[in-house]
Amino acid sequence: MRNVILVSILAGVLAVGAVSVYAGAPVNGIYKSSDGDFDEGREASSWPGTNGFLSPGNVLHAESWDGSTLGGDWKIMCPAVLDTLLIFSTVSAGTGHMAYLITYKGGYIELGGGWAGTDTYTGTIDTYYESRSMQFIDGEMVGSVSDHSVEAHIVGYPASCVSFGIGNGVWRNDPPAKPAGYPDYRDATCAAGPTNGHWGDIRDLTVTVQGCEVSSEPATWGAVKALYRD
Amino acid sequence: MKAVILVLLSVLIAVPAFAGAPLNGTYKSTDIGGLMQPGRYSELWFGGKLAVNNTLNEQSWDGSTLGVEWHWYCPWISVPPVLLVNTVNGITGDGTKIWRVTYVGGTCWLNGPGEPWDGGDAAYTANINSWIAIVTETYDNFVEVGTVRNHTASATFVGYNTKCMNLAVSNIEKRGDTTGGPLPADYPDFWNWFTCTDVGTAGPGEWGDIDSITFTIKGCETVSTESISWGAVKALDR
Repeated sequence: MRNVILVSILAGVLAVGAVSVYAGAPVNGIYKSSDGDFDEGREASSWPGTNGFLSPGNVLHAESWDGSTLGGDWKIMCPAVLDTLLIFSTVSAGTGHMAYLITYKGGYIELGGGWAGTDTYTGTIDTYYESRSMQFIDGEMVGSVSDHSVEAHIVGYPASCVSFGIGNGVWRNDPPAKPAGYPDYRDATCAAGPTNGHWGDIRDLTVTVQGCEVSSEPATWGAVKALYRD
Repeated sequence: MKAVILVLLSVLIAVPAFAGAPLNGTYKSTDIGGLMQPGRYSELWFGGKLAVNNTLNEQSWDGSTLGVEWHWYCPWISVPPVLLVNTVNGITGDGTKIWRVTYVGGTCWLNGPGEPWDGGDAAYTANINSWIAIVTETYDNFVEVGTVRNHTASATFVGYNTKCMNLAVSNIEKRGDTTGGPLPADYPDFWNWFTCTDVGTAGPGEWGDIDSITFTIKGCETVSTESISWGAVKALDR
């Protein structure tokens, strides 16, 4: 009987310990970088192997940027291009515009820095789309912008606990090599290593956290013991 | 005879207005390392957001004044926008919508002196040939809580060779609309498409910020001209 009680108490302690890991649920709300709620960011998209721009298998890696440090407020880790769909093209004789809808698969997000709750939260990406508009002059792409949208469910919380965000992206491949201060290139396993790709900035973000608040009651050691008093 | 002279004189008077074509080149906005000013926009609504006839008005913003450097005005939505992606959950109302929006019409105005494209004219005007927006909205409980857009545009300059054109691509963040309050100061007034005039601040409509601009001028040439004396004009008709 004593062993049973001990096992029960230990189980209870473990349970309380486990609860505390997720004690601070993400705080439901709508957050905007343009309102100063969190930092805007930077991205690097790898072109693994012989891939080029817009190729399936390219891997996106984006992190917030506070002017000196990456990743303090958020990260988008390793969704990979699944396919691309031409939305429109006005390019004639190498000059004009075209836009693609890019569908990504996989990857995860991290929300940290205290703006969406006290912890750092990981979310498994459910959907990720990027609509990219490009400007071509005599066959050369001279400028490109994009809209990003991501939906993820937060790990360790109810299925209703989700985060979804949108933002603007802008191609910055003006220098010949990716400058310092941009995220590293990642491969399909989300490991650093690829050396080719493109990079840019991500701005004007709106992040919504929804369905995450769970009611919890504080549990003292005395309260745990009281559960097992006859 | 007098009529011929008058026509010739009117040609001579008109030519100096197009004395220097805009300088070909690709120009970037200051937020991405260039010299061109970013901007702000408003869009007048005819029946709500993303509706046919909604009319854009975009102006440069130097931090204190609108429209000193550039002004794109009066492209309007010509056909119902096409919904490309819709992940909005039918029960929770959360998710994303992505639209393709086609505009027609409108005018591009550029200041001349001192600008990166300054070729000698006081200002340049171009007729907009195409304007397409990709609009991404995020919804929370069926309420739109954020919108970003890409814009692409091309236009042909007035008064120069037919290949003298410009192309632009830019990012936009919507900052509000009249369902939540009035148009703030320092955002462009609303314009309507059918008269292409300023219709004030009442709306209804939306507004926001423009950045990450890549602007290219291509194919522009200044047509060579020769000075001509009054005596030479008279000589033409002898």
